[in-house]
Amino acid sequence: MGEEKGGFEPKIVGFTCNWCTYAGADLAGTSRKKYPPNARLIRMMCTARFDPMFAFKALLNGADGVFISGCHPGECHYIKGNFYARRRIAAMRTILKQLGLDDRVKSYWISASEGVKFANTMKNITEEIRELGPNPMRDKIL
Amino acid sequence: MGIAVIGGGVAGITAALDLADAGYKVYLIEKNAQLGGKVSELAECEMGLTSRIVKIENHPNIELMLSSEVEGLSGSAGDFKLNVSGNEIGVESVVLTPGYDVYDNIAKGYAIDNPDVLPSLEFEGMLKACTKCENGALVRPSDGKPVKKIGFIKCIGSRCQDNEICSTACCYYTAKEAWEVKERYPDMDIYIFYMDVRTFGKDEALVSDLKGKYGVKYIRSRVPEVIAEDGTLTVKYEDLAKGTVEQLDLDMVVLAVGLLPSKTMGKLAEITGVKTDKYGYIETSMTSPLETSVSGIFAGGVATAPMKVRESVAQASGAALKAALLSGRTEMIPGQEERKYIEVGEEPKIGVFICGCNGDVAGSMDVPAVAEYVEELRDVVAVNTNTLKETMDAIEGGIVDQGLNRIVVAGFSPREYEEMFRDACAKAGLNPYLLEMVNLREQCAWVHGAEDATKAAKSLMTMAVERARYLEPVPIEQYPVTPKALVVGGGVAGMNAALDIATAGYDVYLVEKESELGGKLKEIPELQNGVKGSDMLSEFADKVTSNDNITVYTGAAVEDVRGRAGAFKAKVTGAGVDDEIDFGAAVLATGAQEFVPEGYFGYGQAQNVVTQFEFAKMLPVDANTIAMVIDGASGDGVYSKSNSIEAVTNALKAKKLKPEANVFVLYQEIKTYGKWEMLYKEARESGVIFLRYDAEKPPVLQDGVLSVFDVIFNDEVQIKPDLMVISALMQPAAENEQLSKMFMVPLKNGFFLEEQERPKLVLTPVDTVNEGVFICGSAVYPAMIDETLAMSSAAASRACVLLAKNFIETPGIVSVVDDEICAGCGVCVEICPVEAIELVDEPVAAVTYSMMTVISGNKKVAMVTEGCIGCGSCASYCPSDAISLQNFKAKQLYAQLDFA
Ligand SMILES: Cc1cc2nc3c(=O)[nH]c(=O)nc-3n(C[C@H](O)[C@H](O)[C@H](O)COP(=O)(O)OP(=O)(O)OC[C@H]3O[C@@H](n4cnc5c(N)ncnc54)[C@H](O)[C@@H]3O)c2cc1C
Ligand code: SF4
Ligand code: SF4
Repeated sequence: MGEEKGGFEPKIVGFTCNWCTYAGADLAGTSRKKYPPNARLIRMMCTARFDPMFAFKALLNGADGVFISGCHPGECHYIKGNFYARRRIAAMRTILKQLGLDDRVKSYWISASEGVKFANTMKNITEEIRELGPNPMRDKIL
Repeated sequence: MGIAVIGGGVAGITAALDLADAGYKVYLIEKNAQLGGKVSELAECEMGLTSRIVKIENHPNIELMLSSEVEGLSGSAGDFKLNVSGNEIGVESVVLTPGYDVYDNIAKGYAIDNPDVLPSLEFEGMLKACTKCENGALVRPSDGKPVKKIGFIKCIGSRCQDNEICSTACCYYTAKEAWEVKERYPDMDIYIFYMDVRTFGKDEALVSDLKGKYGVKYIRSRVPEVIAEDGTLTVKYEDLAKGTVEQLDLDMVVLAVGLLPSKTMGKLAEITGVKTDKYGYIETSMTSPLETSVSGIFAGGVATAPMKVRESVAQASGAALKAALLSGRTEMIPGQEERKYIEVGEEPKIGVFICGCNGDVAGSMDVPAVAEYVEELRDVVAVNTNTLKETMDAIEGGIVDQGLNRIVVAGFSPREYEEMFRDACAKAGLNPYLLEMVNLREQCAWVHGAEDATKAAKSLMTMAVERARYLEPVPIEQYPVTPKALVVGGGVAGMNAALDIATAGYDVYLVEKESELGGKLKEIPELQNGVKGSDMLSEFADKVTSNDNITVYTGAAVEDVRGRAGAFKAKVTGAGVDDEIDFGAAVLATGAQEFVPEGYFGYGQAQNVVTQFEFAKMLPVDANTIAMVIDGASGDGVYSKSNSIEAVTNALKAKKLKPEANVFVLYQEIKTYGKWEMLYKEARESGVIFLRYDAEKPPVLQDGVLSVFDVIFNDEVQIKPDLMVISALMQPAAENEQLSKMFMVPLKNGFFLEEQERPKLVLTPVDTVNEGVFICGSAVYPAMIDETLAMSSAAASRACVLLAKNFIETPGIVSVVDDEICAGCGVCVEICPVEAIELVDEPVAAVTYSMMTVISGNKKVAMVTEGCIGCGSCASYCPSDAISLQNFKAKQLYAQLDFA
């Protein structure tokens, strides 16, 4: 699929919670919803385990995009884990903006029954990151 | 001896597993060559069901008898002899779960011979199949052209002469099918032809989503025929909203066929002697919904009445417990053997197992190429490609013979199989947290083309192997199970659950906030089967108070819950009590209460406006004109599943008591599901007048005149009622909020939320995300008494499965503190959503002499208590990385991340 799109295949890392988004991704699978293969999911029990350092590390490693996705607000299996995640993402954005990487980090709420939303989100983020081009940090670090 | 479960559909599977897991010997008898029943034919059945089937196939306590039928039964409760395809087995009790067959006498007028007209079960099969092909388009069987317009016709073979009752499940499954089609093919035009929409709770929300954001057209209509001509299907319908006859051309038509008792039911009834009702379903009663007419034989699932999976499995769980009460526990409970884990050295020796099952993964990517690639990865010493079953054995062999100390299983989603593979590792002596799973099926093979999938798989495998290298054995301790249960709420659900658990031999604490037991039941004058609420209540209350195993606390509340599944502690406080209790499992049955419909039709001001509940108590009344409104109330809460049924019951009673009275029922939907349809029919025939209005034009009461725009007559009707009867919404118990926090069970609109393993198939209706805590009754969703009883027996059954264990292993995914690093800042204490962290004083050693330590003072350190639920908040917030979540430690996540 890479050829006709100019050869740049963005690398995306996604942090998902076990109960909602990871389950939504499973549902996309059981429904055989096709989507681009650019994202690699890292499963955590709850997005509360997400530490902004993970996103920075992913970007420093050369990932072109990062996303964090958990349960919809108010539907967290751990009561307010996704609320914590949201707070941390907001705080992280100030630094990301300074580094000019803000556009590359996205956050979503995708529930266990939103298989199609998951697949569409993967399509969209892949396109959005492709538009942005390769992560400029990639060259700086390596 | 043991227990025979007859019928291996979802109900039979549930009953068999509950029994076998609690240590009973089970004979599971299924006439087909495989388990699963109708659910395995549904479009989205992969998750949940298959792992249960694998579990049954490997269960030491289950004797699986496939392609077998019961040919004879003799003896009585406690000592039955069954002839199963020529083999004789002896059992103490029997659970009947033979399920259903779908209506197949479809009228020729629906063009059923046309290949593009499909009964719903076939359509489910088609959806399932068409997802598997590469482009996944929905095409017409006749000419292979893509379907653009599809229609669903409901009530085929239900609520008709052939089958008078309502099939209950089809309103929901049609909505679900439409949803699935719309999700996969957003441009599809969907039309649903229906008479009533009988869905409740979450299902109702799905229907309004379909009508709203999905743009599915629900057309209230009667469809006399479908005409097939020149490749087009024309649906002729009588539009009940407009009163006109219309027609619509479609590419495909799905007939939502009704459910009928299994074709084998007649013979089975003859052999077992159980009575069936006039529709052929196993006869049970409202007040003992799981018992058949034969003592020692219990029933569950669609064999007793048409219902969805959620209700089927609840009944099956409950029936399993009832059957267990007659049998002795003889078998070992799996996982209860002494387990010793081998010491694993620092050096990882990774074994990789790729599932090549059913061609699921293998069919959609180049598995040999992936396997070859994996062989080259760091620390990988063995790579196997096997079927699921072979993998289970191979893992054991690999650990024992090859000394593997990290296991990577690639194939299915860990959400469904992790527990099973963890168990396989543990059995072979490897700490179960040295397992890593790679989701090659749901998140790779099924969602990318073969070439992309192979490439992605290699990268996923690298991430997993790298993570596996950093996995550590998690300390696991076995702690004893307290063989006692706590039941919160002393209504009918709570009392029934308490009695079931107590009869199974465990001590029960029953805590009720009011000064006496009974809940709503005490106010119900008479149930539909003629039983008086007060009689039923005193029967239950007598049994509860005279049961030596049950300690009743009235006027009391539960506080300060600590601990985890198998070993909880709490306080019970109230007038004169302040007890500390220990229990292994909890059942939350706090019920619901009526919302006071203040101001609605003048309720509260006018004397002659009452609720259905009040009306039932007033009967007989001498009003000449009674008007009931059964939906559209404002305020907070939900409508009970019993809402329409109560109104129809009361309307019919009023009419019978005073035939000359005018009784009007104003409604949007009459939800007399299942056999209750007959009550609706009787009410209509007795002269109760039903008027349907639209949500946009609700009835208005002004100066004693009730005006309503009746959409069937297409005209305004004016009624001058002497008495107005309105339905009240049900509200969750006020204490749910607090209980939710104490027991870690999330709420939805104030009602307890079940664990959701599957978004659309509820296989665990009484389990919650917090292991050891179960929910039932109106506290989950207000329903009829029979459903409430079945559900509370199910909760009791699930609790007993846990209480039957001698010990439980501590959960591995919890946080631990490194005392050395912890600065005692307390950030984690603030952050923990369940207050599971405490700051404690730790002595600090200043100087250590050869034998003596001089303590120079204390420092504060964080300590994680038993309450930890493993969310990881603390680990990501701790400024000094002193607290970490086991199995999700930073180094493990970074290892994975670095290779993403
Ligand atoms: C098209 C369609 C879609 C549906 N979709 C949904 C949905 O999405 N969600 C939902 O909740 N519900 C759905 N339902 C309802 C759901 O199928 C039932 O609730 C569920 O299958 C009931 O399970 P059961 O075990 O009682 O019966 P069954 O699934 O019928 O299982 C009964 C089993 O018993 C066996 N058996 C029968 N007689 C004998 C005998 N004499 N000896 C031995 N074995 C015997 C049968 O072979 C079968 O395996 C749907 C129904 C239909 C028709
Ligand atoms: S009204 Fe009853 S029979 Fe008709 S489709 Fe709905 S559930 Fe089925
Ligand atoms: S993992 Fe979550 S529940 Fe456990 S101690 Fe940390 S914050 Fe509390």
